[in-house]
Amino acid sequence: MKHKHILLQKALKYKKITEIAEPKGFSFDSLVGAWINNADKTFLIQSKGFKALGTKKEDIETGEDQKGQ
Amino acid sequence: MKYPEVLLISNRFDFSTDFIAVELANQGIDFIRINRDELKDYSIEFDPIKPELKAQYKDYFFTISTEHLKSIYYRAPTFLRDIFQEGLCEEEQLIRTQWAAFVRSLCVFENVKWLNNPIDIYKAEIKPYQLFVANKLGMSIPKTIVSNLTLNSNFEYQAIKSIDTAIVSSGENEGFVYTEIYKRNELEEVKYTSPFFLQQGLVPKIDIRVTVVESDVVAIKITGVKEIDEDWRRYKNELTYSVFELPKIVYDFCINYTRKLNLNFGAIDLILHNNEYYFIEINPTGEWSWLQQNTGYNFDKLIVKSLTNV
Repeated sequence: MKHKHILLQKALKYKKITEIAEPKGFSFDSLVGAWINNADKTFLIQSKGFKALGTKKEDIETGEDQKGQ
Repeated sequence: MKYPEVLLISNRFDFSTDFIAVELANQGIDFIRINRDELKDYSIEFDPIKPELKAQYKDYFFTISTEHLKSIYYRAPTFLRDIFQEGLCEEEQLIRTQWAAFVRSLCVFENVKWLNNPIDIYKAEIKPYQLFVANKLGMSIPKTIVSNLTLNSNFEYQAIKSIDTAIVSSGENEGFVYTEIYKRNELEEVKYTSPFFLQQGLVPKIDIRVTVVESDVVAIKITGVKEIDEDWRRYKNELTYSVFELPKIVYDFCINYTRKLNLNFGAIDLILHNNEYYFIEINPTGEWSWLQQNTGYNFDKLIVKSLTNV
């Protein structure tokens, strides 16, 4: 009997993200180099509830793991 | 026309780069952020010999030249794993391959400081090479074999992990491969179609993330409410992060190791097992903003210090 590859046996499965949604209420300002609140012009990274990038799956990630995108 | 001193190569959704942009602006440093996902709307003229890049995006113009540029923060891939993904039109395939090649070719700005140069990142991301160099520098590493056979060893625990980041696509789903721990004799001998790491499983353990920015070293213990024997990333919402001081010998290793790989930035994973520190891997494009959020440590200031101290 053919065995499923050992790396795949316990892999974490999640729904593929086909499109990255922009943060609601924010726009990217290319000259400032950051996302800015449309209403009060504050930075996304300083907003309440902002979740920083981590080394984890199922999140939008560009630095550590998802290098091929 | 802008003549930036610092160039940020990123994409719009890399929020860690926002921290760097905001800190550079706070310090009055002239910088520009190029997002790879916006490149198709740029107009560029790149002279690789001079070298000089003239670009226009929306209503602004900038010139990257050796006269003004001091450093580059590179938050972009070196490996392309999905070029021929199904469903991409020909135009889109060219956008991916040719702009990626353009970004890599900025390595002609060889006399500026890079965090990190993609050429160095490429080599430093080869995990068996990482272990080879760490061992050469005298650091403990878990006993490791790369094989496509599951072999039972004398270790009480065996770790099975991919030798490169493994994300597999299957219809509407993706699968991510974590490090898995198996008890001795739990594995039967099977031959598989591709190789993986068979490693001495370090159980019990404490996970440590060390962020190195040139000669600055920040070590953080990652612990859970219960002891974590497996991959800590499975417990991302139940973790505690605490900054602590490494023993001098390990601290020095982290600096020397990063230098040896020609990196100015590195995120090193260590494990403390039976009072001994083991090197696990280095991420040359490692994340840090979630650590900043969880510890209050200003990694953004550390990175900007390196980018501007040229």
